[in-house]
Amino acid sequence: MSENRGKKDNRIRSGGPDKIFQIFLYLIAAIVLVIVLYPLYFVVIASFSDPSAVAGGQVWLLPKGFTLDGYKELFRHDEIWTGYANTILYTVVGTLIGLVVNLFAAYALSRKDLVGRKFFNFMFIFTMFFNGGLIPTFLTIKDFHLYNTFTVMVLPFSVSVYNIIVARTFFQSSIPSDLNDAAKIDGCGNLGYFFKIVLPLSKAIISVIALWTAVGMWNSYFNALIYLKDASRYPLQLILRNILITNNLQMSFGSGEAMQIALRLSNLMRYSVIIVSTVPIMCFYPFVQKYFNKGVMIGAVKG
Amino acid sequence: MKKEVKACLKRITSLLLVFAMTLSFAGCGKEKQDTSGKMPDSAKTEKEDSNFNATGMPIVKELVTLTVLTTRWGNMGDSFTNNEFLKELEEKSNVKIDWQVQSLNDWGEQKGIILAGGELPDIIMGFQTFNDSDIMSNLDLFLPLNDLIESYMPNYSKAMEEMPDLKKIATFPDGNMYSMSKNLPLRPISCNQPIINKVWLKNLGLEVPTTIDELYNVLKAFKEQDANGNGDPNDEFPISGAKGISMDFLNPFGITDINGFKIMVNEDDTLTYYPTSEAYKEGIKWLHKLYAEGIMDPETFTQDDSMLSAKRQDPNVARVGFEYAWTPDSNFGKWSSEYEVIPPIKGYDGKQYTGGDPNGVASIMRNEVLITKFCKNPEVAARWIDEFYTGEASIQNFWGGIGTVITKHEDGTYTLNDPPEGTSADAWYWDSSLRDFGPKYVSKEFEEKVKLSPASGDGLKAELSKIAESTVTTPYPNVMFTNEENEERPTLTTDIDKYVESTRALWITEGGVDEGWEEYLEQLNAMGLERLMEIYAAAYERYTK
Amino acid sequence: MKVSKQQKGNTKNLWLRIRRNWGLYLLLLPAVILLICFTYRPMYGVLIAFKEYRPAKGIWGSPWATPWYKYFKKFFDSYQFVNTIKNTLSITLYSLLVFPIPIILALCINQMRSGKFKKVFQTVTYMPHFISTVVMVGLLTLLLSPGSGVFGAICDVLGVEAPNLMGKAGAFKHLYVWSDVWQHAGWDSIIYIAALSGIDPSLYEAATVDGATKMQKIKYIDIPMLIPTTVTMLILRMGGLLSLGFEKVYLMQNDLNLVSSEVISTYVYKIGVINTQYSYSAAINLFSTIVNFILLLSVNKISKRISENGLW
Repeated sequence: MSENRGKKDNRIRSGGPDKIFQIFLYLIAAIVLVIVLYPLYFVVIASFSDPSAVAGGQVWLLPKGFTLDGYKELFRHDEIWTGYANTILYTVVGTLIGLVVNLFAAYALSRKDLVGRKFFNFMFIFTMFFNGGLIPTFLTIKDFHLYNTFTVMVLPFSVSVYNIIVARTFFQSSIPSDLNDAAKIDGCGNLGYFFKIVLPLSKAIISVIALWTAVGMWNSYFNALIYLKDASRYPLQLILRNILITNNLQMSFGSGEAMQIALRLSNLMRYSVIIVSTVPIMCFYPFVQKYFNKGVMIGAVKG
Repeated sequence: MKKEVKACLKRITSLLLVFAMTLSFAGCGKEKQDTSGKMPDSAKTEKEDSNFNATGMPIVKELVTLTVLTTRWGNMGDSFTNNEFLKELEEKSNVKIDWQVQSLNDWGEQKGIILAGGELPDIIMGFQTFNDSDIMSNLDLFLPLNDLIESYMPNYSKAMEEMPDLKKIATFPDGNMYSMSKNLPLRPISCNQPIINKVWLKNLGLEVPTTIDELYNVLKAFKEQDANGNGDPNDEFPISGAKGISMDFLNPFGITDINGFKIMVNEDDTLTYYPTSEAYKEGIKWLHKLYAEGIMDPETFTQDDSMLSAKRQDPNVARVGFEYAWTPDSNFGKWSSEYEVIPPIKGYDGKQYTGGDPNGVASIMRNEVLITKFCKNPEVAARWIDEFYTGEASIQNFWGGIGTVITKHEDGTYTLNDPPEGTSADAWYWDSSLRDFGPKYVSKEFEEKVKLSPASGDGLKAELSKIAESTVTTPYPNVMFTNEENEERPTLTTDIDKYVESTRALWITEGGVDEGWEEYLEQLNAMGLERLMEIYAAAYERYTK
Repeated sequence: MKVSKQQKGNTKNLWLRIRRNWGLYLLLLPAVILLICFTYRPMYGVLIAFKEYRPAKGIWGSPWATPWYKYFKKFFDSYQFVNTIKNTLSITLYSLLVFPIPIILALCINQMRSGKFKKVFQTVTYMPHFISTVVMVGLLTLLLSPGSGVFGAICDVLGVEAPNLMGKAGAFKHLYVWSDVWQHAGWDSIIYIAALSGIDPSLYEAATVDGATKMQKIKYIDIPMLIPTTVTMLILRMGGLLSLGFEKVYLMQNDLNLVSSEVISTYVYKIGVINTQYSYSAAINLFSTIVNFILLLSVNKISKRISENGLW
């Protein structure tokens, strides 16, 4: 309501150039929307179409050779449901752990008065570039007896220096230092300040890190591939990957027929797989989106 | 109170840090221990000796479990473990098998981890699991098999006598055998053969082409006229390809290459790298002509497999006219009946050539089964494996068990049953058996007892192959390279092969092979082609000695 | 700067400050422990590049490469050295050029008044991010197909013969970069939208009172707010200059565009297909990483000198 009143005020004052700006904006946005939306739309209609028609370029605006086979074939595999369950579990726990590990560290690193700040920053960033490689890491996981456990999916690789750096930038630039001084006067220690004041003000960055972490966990398959042995622990993406045949096959001679059929099924399921594996995570986004609203900071700094 | 809590936390903090660091670095030396591996005592205990039977069934008096690692394509799973032969063998021999089945999808990464992990299963099966260089670089992990074969494997020893190639290809550079080979039953001798759409020929009133020029005329007619009879003269693709054009199209020019080395063996036992031969140059010129006139699909070099497959199996009408393939049904789906295999096309020299292998295509392979150093009962493993090397065992491990897939008749012959509804024959065989992977041997006499229906599947291919059998060339054999050669080869072949393929694509689409030929040869030499040929020649010599 | 001055002073003072901020160290602890255990401990794996690594022997048991730089030299001497680096860089540098697009997108979204449209727009633009690379490249190939694609149809209408863009070496980097923008710009803009959400609305009101136009508001309020995040993201990008992901390039490659599309990661992959070359690929990767790291250090230094923003 008050926003409307504000609108009216603006219009009276600014007039011409702003109106043109708005129209221009919406026009471009509409075009961008259509262009960006198209691949999604294509995936949806392709998932209901005959794969030959799709690959033959006959599917553009409407499904061709309407078929539910892609989905039917996909859901023949019961493992999908354990996959879903596992992935949800890994994602929820992994995101919580990720938030704790990364946001805490990011805040600590954002404080200019942290002794050894440069040392720790370097220590973190170094790991973004140099790491031992797959085999030594695997052996380390084995040494810690984490092979084929639930923990391996959510703990060892939860540190994301990228996330830490972005969050740190946020803390540095969005939380005014006067707040810290005010809190100190009130007798609040570092931890108290962090939990009671900083975090509530950082909903936007928490949402972004939560989103990035959750999506990363949801889409991951490689760690499961290497560190899990029991198929009952496999996340959804790994199961889906095993259902589709990856493209780089060296086929043995003469078993062409089975291979052709398997490839055809792969093509058939390629699109339904995307729908099935990404719809849930896409539903997660609107929940975090509301934290990107303006004015999260109002009232934090008085005077 | 608060101060004490704080102090406590501080202490815990520093303790944790110290703890973490010692814990993590304490394990540093461990890796060495792990990889020296848990090797069994070489001296057999009395207990083991008495449990094992050197001949006859069961193999062991008390149950012994062996772990077997094998790999399979993509999503094929482990249904093959229900195979009747395997189940019967388990009962008879008292040897229980713990199967570890891995998908070949991401096998590359997992392979390294398994090799570095410090412990391998007892037995490794399937030639796709570990290749030559995996084995040779890690030779200490595998047992040399010569003695085991001699003492405990009569079936395999007999097989090697009857088919010496089995031993030859599995002999590693140090003279020992570290793996065992297989041969597949009833393999065709010809690999890919020319297949043409006979309905199109009929529609246009054309004869089956027998020479290169006749082929050209037929393809041109396909392109210009309405060959598939749907009223549109422009929707036909006489020939096509995905991410490149198959080199089988150069068969009439004398070029065949089923193993992909790009090497041809001449009559005098010398080797030719065919991309530098005159025949290749002529072939490329011909292909360019086809491309320039629109006879070759303009998207041959850019489209992927699924797009090509969509053209071959277009839901409305057949769209691809001529191709080299295993059988018509392997590529054309519902249009397969419109296609027929024709005799090989005669080249300008009047001769016909077909890619294939006089021993049967991809029939003999090594590295089908290995026994690792971690096997505590290698004799048991050897005897268990030997059971696979009979004719009857082998056909059950190639198609499926007797009772479901195979029927054994009173006169001693075997036939294959029809697959159940909803699955193709080939897929059914993959489900029911190890199929291409694992130890097998079928002697020539035994082969005659297996009667395949010539109407479909493997039987059909065996029939079709006969047309071209006499024209099959000898391929560059499946040689074994030394460790040093295996280190040099990948860089050489990656550079050289990629260069060959990209110039080929350029010359076919834009022409200019004559003008660019000299520079091309120079460039290849600069990339190390001579050295590569030396390697191939050395390996070939070792093989044929 | 404040810190170093005090470090020059009393060390007792130092310990006091550390003890006072013990809470911060506690916050740091989980990440540090995890890094030490799972990233630093396996770090010895870097040695693979200097040895003749055999998995069975393990890293300590494998002999040293003779000479130690053997595999580095192999890469430098290889025919593909210059070409793969050139191709990798041309794509990554080009990607830097389109780096502002998600920022512009975020600014536009921020300016939208209609809450509904804004929500829909933002939700839709990030979704393509989830489409798998395989499908995306497949779609791209279909669209650009001169025979059956939209591109071909458009060219027909214009009366021009459709070139086969996927087969043109010169077009490769354009196709790669712009299809990336198409797919990921929405997702990449999220962080900037979040940054913009921290702007105090009273700033806008004050600007309106002063008679500022939309463009001026963007220039003087929005953009400065985004600078710290932008600089950070940019520096991080520079640290990835020689690392170009393998999957998408490999799928888009074909014999016709190979001369522009062979990048470091696909080259490493191809060498490994015949026979896994642990040490060689480790050396190539280590080389790229070192170059990336040096680049990062340099860019960070420059950035700090110019804008006081840096990674440490």
